[in-house]
Amino acid sequence: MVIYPPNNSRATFDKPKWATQDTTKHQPAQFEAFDPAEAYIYHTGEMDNNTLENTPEISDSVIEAKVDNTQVKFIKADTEFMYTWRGVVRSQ
Amino acid sequence: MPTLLQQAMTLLVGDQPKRLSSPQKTTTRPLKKLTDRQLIKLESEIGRTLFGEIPTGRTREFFCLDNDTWIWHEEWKDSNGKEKSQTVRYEIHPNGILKVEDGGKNYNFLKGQELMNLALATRMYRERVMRELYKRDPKTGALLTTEPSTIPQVAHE
Repeated sequence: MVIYPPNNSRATFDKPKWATQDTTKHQPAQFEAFDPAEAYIYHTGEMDNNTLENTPEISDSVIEAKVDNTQVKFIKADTEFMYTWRGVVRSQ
Repeated sequence: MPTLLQQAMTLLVGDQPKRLSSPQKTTTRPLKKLTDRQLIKLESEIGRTLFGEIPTGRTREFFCLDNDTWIWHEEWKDSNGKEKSQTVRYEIHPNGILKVEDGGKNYNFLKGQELMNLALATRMYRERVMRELYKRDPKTGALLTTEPSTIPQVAHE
């Protein structure tokens, strides 16, 4: 079984030796013995699998702003709910 | 002594039930008659407890005033016995929550931990006021109990 590298990696692999052999003319006994260690040759690239090229770093201030925006949305939702509910209580 | 006919009727239709006194009128929506101000006062009784124990000699109010404003208000007496008070308005604006103090002299948009604290307070307010005052589910508004008998009476002003 050939194991393929992760999609975002820069790894390459070579075809296993047995894939290049012509299996139509030779008897099974004449094939080279299968060596699992040589089933594929996996070369790791220069970059780590988890590193993507040209991805900008997200600054802490941007993250804080996003968190603050979320808190504001929560506060708005609770405020609107309470105000609306009070109106419902008085109108029913 | 009952006649034979009366005895037969009793066997057929049973004893006449005793007439019950007219049932007391129960109010299913006691909060309906209250004004906005009275409802806010009731809500604030819960709101003031969200921030822990109130120091002796201080009074505190915290409530949702309207669709855009929360109010924090405290009163106390200083060492000279002079009455002091502080009111903070949290105004909801499209670009954030504006904290207004000292009658508008100081104002700044909340951020960071203080903003998170207010978000927690408003969420706790909603949870507790809906459950404890209105007896309703804080998410859906569905009734939690059929006998809201613990709703306190408010002295009409």
